Amino acid sequence: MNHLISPHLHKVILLHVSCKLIFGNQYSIICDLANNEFIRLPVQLTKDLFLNNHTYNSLIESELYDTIYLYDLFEKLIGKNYLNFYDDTLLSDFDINLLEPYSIVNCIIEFNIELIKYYPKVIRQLNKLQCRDIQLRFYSQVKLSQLISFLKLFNSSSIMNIDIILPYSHNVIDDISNHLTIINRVTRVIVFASDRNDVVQVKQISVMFVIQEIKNNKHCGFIHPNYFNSSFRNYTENINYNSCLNRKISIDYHGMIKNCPSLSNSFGNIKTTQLDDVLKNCHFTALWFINKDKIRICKDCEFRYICTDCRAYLSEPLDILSKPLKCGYDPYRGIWKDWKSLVECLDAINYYEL
Amino acid sequence: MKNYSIPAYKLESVNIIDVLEEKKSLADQVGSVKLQGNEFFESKGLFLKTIGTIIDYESLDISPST
Repeated sequence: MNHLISPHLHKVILLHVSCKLIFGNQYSIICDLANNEFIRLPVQLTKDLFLNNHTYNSLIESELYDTIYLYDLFEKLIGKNYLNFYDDTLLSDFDINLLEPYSIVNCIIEFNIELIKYYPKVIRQLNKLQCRDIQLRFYSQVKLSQLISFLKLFNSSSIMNIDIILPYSHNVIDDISNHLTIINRVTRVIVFASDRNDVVQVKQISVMFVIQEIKNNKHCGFIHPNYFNSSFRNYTENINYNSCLNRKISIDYHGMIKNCPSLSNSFGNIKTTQLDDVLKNCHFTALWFINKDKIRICKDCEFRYICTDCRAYLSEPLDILSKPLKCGYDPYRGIWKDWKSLVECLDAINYYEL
Repeated sequence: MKNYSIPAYKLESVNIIDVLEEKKSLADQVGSVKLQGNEFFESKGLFLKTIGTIIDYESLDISPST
């Protein structure tokens, strides 16, 4: 008997306060918000373990599960610090409301050289809105001098992190090493159309080389475990808000102000419209409140509070509450497939001309 | 002792975890190093969330030696 279990055979088994249960249709996850980890178990097993105030002994006596398997499971969960044994069932919980000062948390800008004279005004407005993170997308080659000039606009701004997406060029790594590392706000560069998939760390910058082509904003909205984030912040945001669009604003290639560059709805152009006026538009902010509990199929998924979302590419394009098209997970069977190969996705793939 | 009514957790959950691990290993280099990147971001208190999910991990053709 594990020395961690044996003294507590008659105590109630409870998860740590920072470990949250999320139930899906077939599976559940125990989400460790403190360590940004999760473990996945069948729904019935999770209910038996954690919803009936069982002690270790009462679980064994219930004969629901084989003793050896229970022992192994507990050893694993204790080892991961997911649970503990308590004399009573009264544990305080934390407030799941997300409180942050930013009017806008992040912004995507699709760079267009023809709009360059309007960008300083946009960045001043983002600063006023306390925007924290920004993603700059360059779908075609950009001169280093133009890039540096553009990045200098963020000096003295509220922007803390700049994520850059640009096409491969033979001198890209030298440019990053010699010029971008000087700009402390630049924390990640994705280099697409590369000759390899690779990641290198150049001072503060994670440089991701991907073979994938990123020609326009149709290359977004992918749902994949690599994007899962079970941090406290992400969990509390995703319970209440849309995990992609909440407090996001975007400027597309044509200068149109949108929730996301991939969405068709726009709320004016940066040439004539102020960003803070857009935030007053309830049609703009309405998408912020579509959390996963409102989305069909997603609401039955155990990953719904740690997952990303996409309202631009939908499994049913005319239904804003349908599942993201680019998700291959079936929560009713608990299996992943390549979404592009699913028959039910074909109509939507054709609709969006993907 | 009864036969347990659902398959042992080990058969199910570990397999499921393996599936996730396998999904991560699909993007072996990018996936694993991405985590290093995340650690960096977190340790610095930087990126609060994913800004756009533009990398198609499903289609990455990763060579183990890269």
